Amino acid sequence: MRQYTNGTSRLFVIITLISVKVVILLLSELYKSEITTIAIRFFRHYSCKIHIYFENCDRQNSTFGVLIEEKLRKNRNPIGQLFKESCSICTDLCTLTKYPDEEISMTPIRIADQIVAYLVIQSGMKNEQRYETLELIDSQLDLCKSTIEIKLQSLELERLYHETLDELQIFLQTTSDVFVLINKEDVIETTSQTFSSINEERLNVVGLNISTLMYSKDWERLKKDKVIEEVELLVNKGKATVSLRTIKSNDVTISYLIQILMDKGTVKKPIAKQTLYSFQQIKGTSHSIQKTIEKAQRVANSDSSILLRGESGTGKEIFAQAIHHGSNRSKRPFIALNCAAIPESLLESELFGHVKGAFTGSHTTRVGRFELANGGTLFLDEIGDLSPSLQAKLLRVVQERRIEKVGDNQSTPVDVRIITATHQNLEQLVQVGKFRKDLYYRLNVIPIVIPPLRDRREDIPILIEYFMKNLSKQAGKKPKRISKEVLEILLNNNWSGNIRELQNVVHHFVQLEIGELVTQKSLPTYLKDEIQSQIQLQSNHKRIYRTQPNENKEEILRLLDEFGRDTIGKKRVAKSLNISLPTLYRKLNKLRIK
Amino acid sequence: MPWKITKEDIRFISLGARILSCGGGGNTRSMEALILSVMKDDDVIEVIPIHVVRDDWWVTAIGIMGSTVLFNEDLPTGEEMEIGLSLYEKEYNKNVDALISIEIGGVNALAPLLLALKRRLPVIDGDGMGRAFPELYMTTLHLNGIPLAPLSLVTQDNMKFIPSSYTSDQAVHEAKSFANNNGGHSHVVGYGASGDEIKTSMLSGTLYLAYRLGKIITSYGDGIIRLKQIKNAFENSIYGELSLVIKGYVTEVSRWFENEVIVGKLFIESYTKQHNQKIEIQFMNEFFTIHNGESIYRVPDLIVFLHIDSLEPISVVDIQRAQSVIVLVIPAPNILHTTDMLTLIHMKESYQLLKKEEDQ
Repeated sequence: MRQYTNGTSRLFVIITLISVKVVILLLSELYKSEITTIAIRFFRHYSCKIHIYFENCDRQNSTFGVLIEEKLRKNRNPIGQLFKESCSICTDLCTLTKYPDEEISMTPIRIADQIVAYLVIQSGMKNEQRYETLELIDSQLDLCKSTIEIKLQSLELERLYHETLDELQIFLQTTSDVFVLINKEDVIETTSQTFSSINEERLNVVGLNISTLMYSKDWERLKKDKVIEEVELLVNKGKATVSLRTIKSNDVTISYLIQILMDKGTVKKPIAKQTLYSFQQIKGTSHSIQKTIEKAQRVANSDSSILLRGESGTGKEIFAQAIHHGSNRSKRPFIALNCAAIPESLLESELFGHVKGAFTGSHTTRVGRFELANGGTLFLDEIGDLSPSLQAKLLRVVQERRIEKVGDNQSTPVDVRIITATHQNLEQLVQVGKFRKDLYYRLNVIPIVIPPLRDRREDIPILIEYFMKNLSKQAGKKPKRISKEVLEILLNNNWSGNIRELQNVVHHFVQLEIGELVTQKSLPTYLKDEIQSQIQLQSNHKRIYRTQPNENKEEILRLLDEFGRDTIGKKRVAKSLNISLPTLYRKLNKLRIK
Repeated sequence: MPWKITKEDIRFISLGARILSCGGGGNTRSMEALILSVMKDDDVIEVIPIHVVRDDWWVTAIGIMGSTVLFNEDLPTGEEMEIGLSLYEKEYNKNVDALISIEIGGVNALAPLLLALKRRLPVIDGDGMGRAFPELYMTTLHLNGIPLAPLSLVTQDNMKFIPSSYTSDQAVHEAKSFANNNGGHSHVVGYGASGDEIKTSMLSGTLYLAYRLGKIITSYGDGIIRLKQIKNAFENSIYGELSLVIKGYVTEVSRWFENEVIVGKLFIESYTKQHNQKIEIQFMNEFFTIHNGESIYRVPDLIVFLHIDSLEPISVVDIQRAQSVIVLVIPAPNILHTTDMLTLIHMKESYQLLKKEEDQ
């Protein structure tokens, strides 16, 4: 069989009959199994063997005949040459084409106006019986063609229907407006992605009656008037303008598409899809950070309040996100607020929301972070900066699980898991009266201390690699390597800004270093100055240490005399010096003590 | 802070080192068995992380060079390393305070552990290659100017010291010659440097990574979960986010020797329809390139073969037709991607199948 490189792939099935061959030339991958199944069913009485071949062919040249020519040459059937003419004639005439002399019958199979296959029969009989058989086969061929075409039409309609549904889904996923599709039985079929922004009750309305969304009287009125204002929505108790379009087919109503536009003042800000850190993304293999991660993972799934302690830049918010991500609230919102970043006068409104007219400038009712985080997690960073009055209000919320908007006399229940963080010494603030003791105990149920970078220096290479790879990729820079001097600086720096500072330094030299080797030139100036003074300090220490080596040797000798020089004795010596046994052996080696 | 390797941990490190060897690195099982035969139940090997390495220490790199196949046939006694270190210290007149692996991929991850055990020395958590490379000078230590010599070489029957007057090129030449004339392989003690030079030239944390990987593979649990843990382990190291290239079966393997190096290629077909339906992988002691019509991954990134069920690593020697495998690619640390390092590992010349293969 010859191979052809252009054109559509096709499948042809050769059913070798006692003396009749049926060939299905498929010009499209679509519905190949349905066509084949029906054709085989029609002609199975004649079949003794079925061959299936996959080939490529050029449809225009219709050289299919050449392909099977070699196969059929044994039977001396010149079927090949005729295909070229047959196919085009078939296309033109749209009829069954007969070539009695060559014993071939051929008919096209269509979906709409497109030919998707040819059905061909070739008989090898050479007697009177042949003609009767041929007539029978011709009528079978006609019937087969009709059956196939009806089946394909139905399949095609179904395919188009599903395609349309898919397109509609894509539209609903991407539109920024709120749409709901309701079928003629008044059941909600699907909603746009933006529906969640108004669905405060978080009801799963798909599959439910429209009365879940609005009152029945409003629905009936909407169907009649097409647009109604101030419709009360049951999913958020808010008011909206709703417009309706009826979808019909052949004048028969199939479904309704409604667009919902919430009235201003009742709309909550939609929460953008969040990409939150997980525990796996916290970098570091040091014992201290791994212990902290393990502790956080253990408590993630509880609802207990967590207080994250750590210096600035240690990753408190990352931990808060990871805890939320690892909890059973992970599908609900994670809302963060830095209490030090917002003026005190606005902080209360930011936290609890306000009603319209609560103060000058409050033109609408606004929900606060607590309500936005309802069902999820609220992370309050720099909790130590909260004013006494807000501390009192926060305490009440923590205790009663209800909030009051500024200017409102009604309270609203909230279900929020609170994670707080501070770099300050809260205990000291409590002692001096700047932080409420009762609030402290409510928030400090599970304290988690995040170690500073200087306490986990073995993680510095991992963090450098991670930041370098990411920042180089973002900036389109080639990979770099760090010179020994720079790596020395990075390993020994105090890192008062912790990971954030390290990230900034890496960013600095990735951007500024022209070559592949990162040198001191591309470090921030403050760092170069800092490290110089540190090196000076260290070298002073070393000088002091080097003047006292003998004391160490004498001490070791004394202990060896006391405990013995066997393995057990050496173990005791090591314990006494608070070093490991291998370290003691090293010292003995270095000091040349036998 | 420093951590300790116990007897139980040796097999984890052995297994993890096989992953990092990218299909090469020799058979770690023999070295593993040797260490276990020497190590008592309460023995520990101290591992020093980068920030604890003292600047004033003298550190040497330990390894085995030559043919891995011949090494497996001619198992060491366990004394060679100690002899090599003693020779080094005597000839160079310098006591060694700590050891480091020349390369973490394969047998060489374990070589310094055996010596550390015998000599009660600590091992630094890191190495000079981050994977397996074919030549002794293809290290970040060499890239950062640490000379290979002075260098001691030891086999079961012979030993040699190469003084510091030799350049690294000369030392490599001598070392190869020695190995070839003495059974095809040799134990190596070299790349001596102070602690501050070593810690700023090495690839940090690779020994601990090998340990973690080995522990994951031997743990009980679903294969998907363990694969995810392997992914997390690499992401939380100096390497980075790995890619799963293909899950499938080996349809064809061709393998032969050239200059005592195992060379060849193999094909893998995916179980499922995906864009990497069928790929070709070439190897030269290690897996070094993946093609699917064009080269999509290549050295220095790590190409790792894992058995589909056990997730145990498969070497270029062990890969067979009809095996079901997972192929991962792990990005190499930045330093291995720099022009200087690529030049050092002679990207073009070292890593291409020789013409002889194309004739086969």
